[in-house]
Amino acid sequence: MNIKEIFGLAPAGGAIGLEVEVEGRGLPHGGLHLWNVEGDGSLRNGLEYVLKRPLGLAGIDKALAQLSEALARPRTEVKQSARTSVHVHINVQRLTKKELYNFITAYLVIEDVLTRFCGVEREGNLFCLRARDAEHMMDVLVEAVRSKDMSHLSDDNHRYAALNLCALSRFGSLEFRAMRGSASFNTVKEWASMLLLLRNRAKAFNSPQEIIRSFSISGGGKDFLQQLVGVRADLLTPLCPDLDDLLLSGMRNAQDVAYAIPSWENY
Amino acid sequence: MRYDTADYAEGRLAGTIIKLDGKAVKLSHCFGDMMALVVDISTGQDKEVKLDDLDLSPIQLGYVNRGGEAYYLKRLPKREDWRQGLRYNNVSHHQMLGMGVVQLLSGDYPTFEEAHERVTAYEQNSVAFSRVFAVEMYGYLRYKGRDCVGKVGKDAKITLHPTFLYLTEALKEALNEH
Repeated sequence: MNIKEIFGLAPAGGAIGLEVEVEGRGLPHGGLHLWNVEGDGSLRNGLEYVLKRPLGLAGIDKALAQLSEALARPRTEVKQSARTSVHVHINVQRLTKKELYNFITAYLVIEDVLTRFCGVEREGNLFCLRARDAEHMMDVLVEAVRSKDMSHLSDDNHRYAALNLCALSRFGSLEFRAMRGSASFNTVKEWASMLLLLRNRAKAFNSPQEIIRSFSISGGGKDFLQQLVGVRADLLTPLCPDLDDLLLSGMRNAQDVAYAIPSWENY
Repeated sequence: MRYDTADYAEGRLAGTIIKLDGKAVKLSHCFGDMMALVVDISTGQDKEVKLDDLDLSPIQLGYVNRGGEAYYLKRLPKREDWRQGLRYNNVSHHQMLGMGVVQLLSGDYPTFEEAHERVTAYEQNSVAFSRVFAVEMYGYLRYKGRDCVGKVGKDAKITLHPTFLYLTEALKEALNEH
């Protein structure tokens, strides 16, 4: 069974969903056929632009170009604000449970490094708490793995985690909330591509435990990062002088999920 | 995260525990030109400070030893809380939060040998000897307040259950912390 079947979801074709929060004046409401425009109480004079449906990377390019053009209109003024963020949904509908936990495990190992890419001010931010900041989420993951019951993951108490698991049962996606709102759309594209690559690379491992073993064999560090995000590791490593420490601490968290059960063979 | 008005900062920080110069403080309220009144958790002394001087980086939670028990404090990434700092609504075992955070920031734990001695002498039910490991009465070794991951013999020798052998390195580090 895959995630779509487990949660009885309507099929969603595209790989990536986006929610872009913007604050400013004269923000565009119309002429954006790829986006829904929504109000957001957490913003000041802000709007949230939500992709109408998930798209592939080429579609994301077009959608961001459309939004960028609209935000550059003469009477529109975009304000850089620490309140805004960009949320990326990665479609996992076609993953099996084990493949999903591979993705989650791989993400947890490199979460601190990825969050650095999203912006230093996003580290420990209450709207996107990492597993190291809000460990309660790890209990929920461990319980879900052991019980083979994914309904645990829909608990609204974990919605403001950098990795929001609640989106699984609603959309069949994992929501990554860490990207700063002030990032350029090129950075947003890089971020979405990186997460998509991570999903695909993680899927290829036999089990979450194999990801941890691979970490140990590679000695962690940049080699392991490259295994998961390819050449994009070059974007991450200059931001992380403490790379080895960040990865080791991420791996320790991820181990709790990977070894929540003795074996994934028949999972 | 930095705030652009005292009002907004108050909404995110009032009543929560954050850091100032490495110490745990509770923010009472914000006022004036980006100022705040904070209370030092250890001493109870209050102080007016600039909002920019506060350290809003996360406080790493974990085990605290209070009243003869080890409690594992964890934050919940709750939506309906909307606070940057720690408070009753976003932390497990929140009754232990104030002095617990003071203890966590000091990183002050007994050695494993001391911890083991206290539980075998029935002085305490459980004692943490690191941020993530605690020893309990009857020789149970607990990890992150979640799993019993091993046993401690009368000779104080620790044996991890086969399922939790992956913790060998983490345990070694915890034992060598002192």
